[in-house]
Amino acid sequence: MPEAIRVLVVDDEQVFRDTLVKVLTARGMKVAAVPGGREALEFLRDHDVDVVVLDLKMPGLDGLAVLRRIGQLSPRPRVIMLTGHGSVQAGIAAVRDLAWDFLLKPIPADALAQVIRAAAEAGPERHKP
Amino acid sequence: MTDHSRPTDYRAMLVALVRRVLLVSVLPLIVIASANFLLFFSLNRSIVLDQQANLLRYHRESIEAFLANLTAEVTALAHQYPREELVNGHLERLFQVLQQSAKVITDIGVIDSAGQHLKYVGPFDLAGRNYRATEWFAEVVERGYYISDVFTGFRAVPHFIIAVKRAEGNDFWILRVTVNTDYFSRLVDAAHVGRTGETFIVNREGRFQTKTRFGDHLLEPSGFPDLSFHEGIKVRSLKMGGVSYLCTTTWLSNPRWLLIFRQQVRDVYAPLRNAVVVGLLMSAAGVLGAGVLAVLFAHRQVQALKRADAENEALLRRLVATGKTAAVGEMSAGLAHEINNPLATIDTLQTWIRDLAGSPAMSEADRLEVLDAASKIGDQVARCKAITQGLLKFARRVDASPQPVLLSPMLEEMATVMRARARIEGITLEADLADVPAVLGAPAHLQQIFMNLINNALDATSGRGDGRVVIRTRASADAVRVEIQDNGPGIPPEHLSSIFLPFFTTKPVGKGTGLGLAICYGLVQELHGSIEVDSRPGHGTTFTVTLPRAAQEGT
Repeated sequence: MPEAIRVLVVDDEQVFRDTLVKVLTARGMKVAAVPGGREALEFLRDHDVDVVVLDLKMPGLDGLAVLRRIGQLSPRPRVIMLTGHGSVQAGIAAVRDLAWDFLLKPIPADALAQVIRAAAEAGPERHKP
Repeated sequence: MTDHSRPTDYRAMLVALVRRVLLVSVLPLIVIASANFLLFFSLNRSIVLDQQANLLRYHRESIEAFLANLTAEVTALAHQYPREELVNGHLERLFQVLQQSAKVITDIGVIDSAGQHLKYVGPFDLAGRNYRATEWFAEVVERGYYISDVFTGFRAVPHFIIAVKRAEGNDFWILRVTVNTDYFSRLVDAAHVGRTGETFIVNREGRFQTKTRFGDHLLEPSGFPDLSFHEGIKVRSLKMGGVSYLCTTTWLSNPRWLLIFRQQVRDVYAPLRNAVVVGLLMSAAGVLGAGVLAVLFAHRQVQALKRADAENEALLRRLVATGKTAAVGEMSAGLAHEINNPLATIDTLQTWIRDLAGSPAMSEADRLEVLDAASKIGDQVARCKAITQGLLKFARRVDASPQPVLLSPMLEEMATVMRARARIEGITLEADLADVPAVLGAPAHLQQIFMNLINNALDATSGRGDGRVVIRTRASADAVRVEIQDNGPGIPPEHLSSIFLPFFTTKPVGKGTGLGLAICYGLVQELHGSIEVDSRPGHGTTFTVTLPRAAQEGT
């Protein structure tokens, strides 16, 4: 059995965050969760993560800002952006920039798990400085 | 939009325009025409009077010349022949000579010093008559020659004579001719002027000495009212038989006859009157034309204005509609986030329940977990319900009819809905709402005003982390003040004058329509209120909307 995919969930909605951790764990992943951008960056400093599931709109450090900071890490984990805010422009900008994918809430947990697996299979990006 | 726009009185505008255009076009026309008439009238009058005086002066000269010539001719003939020669047959020849050029005389006679008519050539039977007793005989004996007034004499026909005394030896005799009164009358009334102009002669008693154009007979009283002697030419208006005449008169020197040219005043000034009538008609046509043009012009202007007003109103309507859409768009994006988040949670929870319930051996812990997840789903549903209910309240308020509106509760609701957006952008949205009296306005419009201002405030403080927006209501004596205060970057002073202009925006392309504040301004104006901005760069901006309180009761 291959090593479990390491996932970090970043979302300010506590119930969503907790439930998503349980669901993804049940799907064989090694899942951690933090409530905001600052905590996410702190976590990433100390832990290796394959995929970050990042909420776009959060109080404090915004999802896009976190995405940019993650882009400076090496090796760089794949990032999947999540948002309930139906702003298409923001989504495209995020994808074109640094994210692996951009998903609109609500998304079925199995569909999300699928995307996480695909991102993890692609492996971390190393070439960018 | 039906209620606040005050109806423009286009009719009054049209009338005012017509009046103004007429004033500037017709007044000068009337002034110029009047001045022209006055000038023309006095000029024409003086020309007419001069003309008549000159005419009569020449006429008098020619009449006097005629009489003088005839007298001279008769005198010459009297001195050319001795009495006997004339009496014995030469007189017929003389008569013929005198008749040669024109029938100037009607008869000729030789009278001796005793007054006896010695010889007569002419149409009447006057030979042998004695004239010693006549007035003219005495005159000619005394003066040597005499031109008589018209008289009837023996022939019982009005006539006048020229008589010349010829001394021969110790005796004398008289050569007498009767002037052809028809010829003389024609000579005097040579020129017919106008319809009523006539020239004639009266003697000192005012009796006709010539026949007139209109059939007056010799010796009839002319009724001419002014027979006093005057030098030269005299022109004046006189009333005769109820008719006004312009009379030009001059006294002949010999005989003392009054030469009169008279013409009815109406006739004299007929050309002038015609000119005035034509002028008046032309002026009237001018005024009428100006009037028609003025009305057409004014009508067109007012139509253009009406069109422009209609376009403006349509534009404003579109702007308001667009602004509404923009505001609704911004709001719905926030609402989508608010609803999609609980939905995502619910979805994840139901997946989790499925996971737990799907395992063949479900533990007691799993069972409690399912119950917990289900109750969490209930929480999320309640959250969604609160949002959709708020949205419904919002949507219900599209009523655009003015009514007393309590701003504080309305702003409280708006703050609640917009706090969703504020929260995710890290902005504190505070509501400092006093118990203020109602204002009169359409709820939809009021909502739009404050939604625009609050959205702007949120935009200004977005992404700072310490954003703070305060919605404040306060009452004053006759108005309600609403302040939307933010601690954003403020508005640069150079933009302050432009912010209420349509399409002015500093937001990135695609983010702001540039209509929000323009619409706010327009709506506040319609509510007879005012909107002010106070901004200090680096410290934030406060928009203050002041609306008059509704006339009815207070709170």
